[in-house]
Amino acid sequence: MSGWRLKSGGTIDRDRRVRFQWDGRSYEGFAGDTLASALLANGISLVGRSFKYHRPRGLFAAGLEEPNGIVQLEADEATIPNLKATQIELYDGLIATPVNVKPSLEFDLMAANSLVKRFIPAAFYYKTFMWPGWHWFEPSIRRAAGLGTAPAEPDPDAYEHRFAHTDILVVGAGAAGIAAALAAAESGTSVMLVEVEPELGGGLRDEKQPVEGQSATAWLKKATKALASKSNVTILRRTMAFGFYDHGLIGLHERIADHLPPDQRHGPRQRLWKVRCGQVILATGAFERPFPFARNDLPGVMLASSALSYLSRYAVAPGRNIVIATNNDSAYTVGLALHDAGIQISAIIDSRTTVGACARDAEEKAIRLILGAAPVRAKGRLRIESVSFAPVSSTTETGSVGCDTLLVSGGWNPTVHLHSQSGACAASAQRPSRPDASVYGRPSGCRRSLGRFAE
Amino acid sequence: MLLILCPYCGPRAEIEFRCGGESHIERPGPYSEVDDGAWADYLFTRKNPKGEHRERWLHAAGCRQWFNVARDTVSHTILAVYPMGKTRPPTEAGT
Ligand SMILES: [Zn+2]
Repeated sequence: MSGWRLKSGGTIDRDRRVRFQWDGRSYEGFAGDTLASALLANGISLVGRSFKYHRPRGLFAAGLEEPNGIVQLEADEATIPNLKATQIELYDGLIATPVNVKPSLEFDLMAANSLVKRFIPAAFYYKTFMWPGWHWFEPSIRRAAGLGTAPAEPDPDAYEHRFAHTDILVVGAGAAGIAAALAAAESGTSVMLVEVEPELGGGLRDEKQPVEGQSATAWLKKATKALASKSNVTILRRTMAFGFYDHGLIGLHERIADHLPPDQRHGPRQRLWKVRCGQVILATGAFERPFPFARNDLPGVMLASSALSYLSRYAVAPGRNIVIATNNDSAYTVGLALHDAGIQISAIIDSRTTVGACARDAEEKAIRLILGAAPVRAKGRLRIESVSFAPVSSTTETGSVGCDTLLVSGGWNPTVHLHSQSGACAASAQRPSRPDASVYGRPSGCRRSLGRFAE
Repeated sequence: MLLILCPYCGPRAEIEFRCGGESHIERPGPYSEVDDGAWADYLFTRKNPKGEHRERWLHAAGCRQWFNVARDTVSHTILAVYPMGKTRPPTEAGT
């Protein structure tokens, strides 16, 4: 079993069907899908092969943090290697192929490497293929280990370079970033709000709890409208802040036309911004941590929060028989949302022995709770078929649960990349080292990004 | 990329400038009295401090004037900007 599309829900436009090609075959999705959500909706769980042993890999996340869904987009001179399927917005006629597979995704000859892996230690290639010279072997080994293919012809697209100045730059348009931008805009200073996704909202897009007495969607709509109406606010969507340099200089990468079909693209495709900022506010949120266990890279294993994103944005369920492994409360929200959407949650494996109100909610829905245990091994060939667990505390039995999807949540890591690059210490996120940087929302140590609304 | 306060043009991005290296190096003389060691020092020996460094900058893509900058080599903070031929003005830090 694999992913599927629900009859209703999501923010996709069900009136606009979009045809695309994956791995030489034709599929259909909706406007508003990403390539990843469309693949998942079409029941495709195998999207690539690992770098060295060519182990099967499936979609693991829904956004920027996706490690597996690396694809080659388009063909010939317009081809782009190694893009994340989770960041490619679906357009009509899109062509994508998996990388690092031969001869095909399902039957990969190089996977034989995994049978002899104990004989291929790290740096095996460099040390074994020294005679008569590494260069004799390098091309074929690089082909075996490499990812996408670079285009052979000149790039047909145009790019742009722009300088800008702003009093305040907010990185990340989640709850904290939007609140910070709104507050900053009140004082009349120039504000830039930068969001890597095509939509503002971050985690608010999946939020089920009300915000300031209204639904998260309604709050988001109102806040977006308020920001757009202010002449001193610039909103950049599909834009990644990739560097925090000296004296308040931020590097931005804006994808202007990547979401359009190639024949509808006019002007520059992408833009490099160098923005000099009086103050940088990092509201970059957090990434969910995976769990370490044997074969945790099997297709069908996914971050819990990502499953919620697929559900609430694209109305896509990652499977039909789901087990959740967690060590914190946030995965229960995911479990309950999936359950409410009519998807079977077979068990929640929680490494804690005492769990608060969220466990009662799950029990009310007759979801099986396995407390004090953690997953030790995923089983299955091209997709997970069961997960075995073992006690963390002595009260739990060892056991195994059948599933076609295992959602994992090992807690949350604040997104501190820019914060660290600015010279600050990740452990003291609330005290940036520089006068031009400040940190809001999850990186500042708040568990819930909404917690800092008042500030 | 540094933001350098040109005393003539105001704050500009580093790419407009050229760094001329350490400032306040006096040419020894008269020439006939300078031994090889002192001359080599003058030509080649430079400070490489961790902390405040005084250096010459040219606003190459602007007013084309030279001036002095006192810069912290650890934090890249610009501590002072002052004209050629002058000494570093005191700041609140007292240096
Ligand atoms: Zn100047």
